[in-house]
Amino acid sequence: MRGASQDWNLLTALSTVTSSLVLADPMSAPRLFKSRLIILAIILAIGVFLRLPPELFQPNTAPLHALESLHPRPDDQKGGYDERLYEAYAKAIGTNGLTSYPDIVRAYIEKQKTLPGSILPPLRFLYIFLAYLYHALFSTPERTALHYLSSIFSMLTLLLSAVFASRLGRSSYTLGVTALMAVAPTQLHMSQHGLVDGFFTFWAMLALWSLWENLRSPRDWRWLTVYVFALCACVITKENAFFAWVAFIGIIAANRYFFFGVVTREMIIATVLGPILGVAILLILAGGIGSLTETYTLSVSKNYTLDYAIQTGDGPWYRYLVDLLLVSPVVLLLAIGAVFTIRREQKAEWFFVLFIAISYLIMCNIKYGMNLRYANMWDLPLRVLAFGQLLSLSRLFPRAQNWLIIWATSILCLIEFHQYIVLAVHFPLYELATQYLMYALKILKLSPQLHP
Amino acid sequence: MVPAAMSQLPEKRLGIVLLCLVLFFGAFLRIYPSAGLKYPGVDESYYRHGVMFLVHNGFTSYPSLVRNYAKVQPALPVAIIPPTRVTLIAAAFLWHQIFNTVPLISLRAVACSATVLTLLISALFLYRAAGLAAAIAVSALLSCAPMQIQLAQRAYVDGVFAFTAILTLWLLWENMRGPSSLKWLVPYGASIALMVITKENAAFVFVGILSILACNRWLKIGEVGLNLVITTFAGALAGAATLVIASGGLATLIQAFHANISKTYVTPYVIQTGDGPWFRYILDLIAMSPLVTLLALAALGRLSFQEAISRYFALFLAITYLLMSNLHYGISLRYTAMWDLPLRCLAFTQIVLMAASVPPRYRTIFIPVAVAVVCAVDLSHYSLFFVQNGTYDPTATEILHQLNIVK
Repeated sequence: MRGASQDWNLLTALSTVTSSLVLADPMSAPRLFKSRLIILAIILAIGVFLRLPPELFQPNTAPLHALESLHPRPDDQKGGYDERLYEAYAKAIGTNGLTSYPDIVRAYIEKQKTLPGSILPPLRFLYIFLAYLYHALFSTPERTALHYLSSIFSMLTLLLSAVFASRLGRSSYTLGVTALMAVAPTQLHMSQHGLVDGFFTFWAMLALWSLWENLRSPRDWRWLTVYVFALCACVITKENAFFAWVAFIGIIAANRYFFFGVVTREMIIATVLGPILGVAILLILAGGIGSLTETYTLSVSKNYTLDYAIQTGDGPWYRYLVDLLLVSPVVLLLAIGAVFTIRREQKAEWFFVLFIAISYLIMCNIKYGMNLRYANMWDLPLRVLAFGQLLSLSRLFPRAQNWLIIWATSILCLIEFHQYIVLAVHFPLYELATQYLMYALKILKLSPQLHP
Repeated sequence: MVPAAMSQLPEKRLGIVLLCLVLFFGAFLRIYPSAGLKYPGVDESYYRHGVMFLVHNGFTSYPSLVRNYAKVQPALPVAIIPPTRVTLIAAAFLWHQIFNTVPLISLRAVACSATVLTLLISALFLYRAAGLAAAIAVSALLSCAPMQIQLAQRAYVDGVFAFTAILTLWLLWENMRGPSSLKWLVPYGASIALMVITKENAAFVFVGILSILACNRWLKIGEVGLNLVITTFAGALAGAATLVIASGGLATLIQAFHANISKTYVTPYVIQTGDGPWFRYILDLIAMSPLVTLLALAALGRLSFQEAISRYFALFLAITYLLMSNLHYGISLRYTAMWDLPLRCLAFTQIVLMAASVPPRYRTIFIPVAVAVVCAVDLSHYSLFFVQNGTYDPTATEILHQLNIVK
């Protein structure tokens, strides 16, 4: 991949919060480096602990019961309709075998035709299949397997964020971004419920990271393989892969102006090949192009008549901004500040801004199709921008810059964690619809027909 | 504040004509009765009652009005509007006496006049502080500000209060920027007094003013002399003294405020609509004027302001936001009318900064187009909230419902 010097760069990128101290006393560099690795390990440990599924802390039987008081248990324990469907699909694989998947898809089509609104299709294969696999390997009930899977992949997203941030080549980003991701309310929420969106975020971020690496290290077959694999995984995980994919295309097209790296023919082929592979897998699973097309057509068309989607998925173009503000106010405000202050040479920031902007443009124009869960894949890009803005602001106070950034990041993490507690621990939040968030925050108390 | 292309508007006369057109348009939007809801709202009814009381009993009976309130309020289950908001009631009474209009129309006329005056003094303020181009652009933005137009259409005190607050801010600016002179000090003191007798929210502005005076050493906005500090306190005291006289004594005034505040916390409407986290105002502002708010937030996020006027507004916004967002059950978008000018000034600053990254040949056209787009979005929101849906009080519930975000 890269040579030893690149590895050293990675390690230094992992470490430098107090870079000025390193320069002041070169002898202390290894010690500081070690201490930063310890801090990173602590951050990751906290992030992983917060993501552990609540089932592990249940009284009497659960292995981590002794730590129950430390774990923020989500108030919602009922789960939702989606979880039951994923569970049913996973059970169907267990009962009939993987080869019967086309029958599951056909059964979905028949059922969907009779329903007035949309239900989730079984073509979110990867999540369902891995839940089945987990169940088969560890004899865990399917529903619990879904929870564990969400939890594991949320942890993997956290680890991926740490590695991705370290590869940006900016000092202090690893610790800062990882800390912000460790307590990101929507990340924590996804880890505690059997929802596909956190799982999808992992694959989308893996694809985004591998795109970045492919741009920086052209024609490296290992990065190309990861990229193809991640894109394929996105497609067989959720339909939202389309939004991420269009954003990738946009980034590749914009490379001409922003010079993120080198766009090679191999990379373009990989960008097309990954989704084609995914679609091919879906075709096999659906039992033909007819079933696949019908599944998506039904799912999309019935969504426009689904009362729940009409009630919760509507709004103007800035609906996602409202939702993000409700969940992570300071991160959003910092990210907005960053968007308006990025200089041309800040390639990593532009990379993330383009990813958010292009996918936002599509996602905010989907009628009755707006939901903060879908914005889960923006969590890392937003936090990279927010942390970058914190760094920029701290430069206004050069004497106290290092301590300021440490304190500001810590306070920001506390605010984020507090938001999670308010939204999901003190309130039975399951669906991230605006009205529920507003109820949790006590902004909304009565029906919208309220008059003074 | 403005790039060369804008600051070098070829003819000053043409610029002034343009500014007059913008102001005329803004005044038209305020005067033309476009609001969808015509019947009197709750607040309007209380103000109307106040004016009618004065009409029947004479202006000198004002202390009786306050005494009655102080007597009645403790027995009521909810807080009602106190008659200590002297400016609106007195001005409406005066309007009634001069034009012989009914109390509600008099109140609405006063509110409308105040918002038109807000627009005029804002233009003057910006013209003196940042130049003609900035005055034109910010006046255009302010002309289309949804809350300003709404406050002109109803008998709310908030539009009148916003006028007094912005007048005070402007006069403070003039006093800080120029040598100490009675020409500016006396109107400044009078504007503070007027603000105090307009609404209790004067306390927030007053703290904002004190913060500006205190932080001037670091922000380098201008000169803060002893005369200015004395005038600031003298104005506030004069306002308080007027309130005492209008109430017929200090005890009645305290009793009236105490009764109002204690009942506010048990008023269901206030509990249901005035609660929320510290970022509730940002949420409300984004819902009402998304582009203006985003641009202003971007400008604020830089924390580095070239122009003194931006530092001045940024500090004022920060301090008043800090106070107002921490008021239990006391959050309402109407109270933010006094931020309309600072927010739009900062939004314009951001537009100008963005113009710097636009290719030079498009730079001249970029700023007017951007301002026009922001104005169009604001007007469309005014139309949605207040014309089509006839919103009386723009609570978060109400406006998010009308945006189809909450159903």
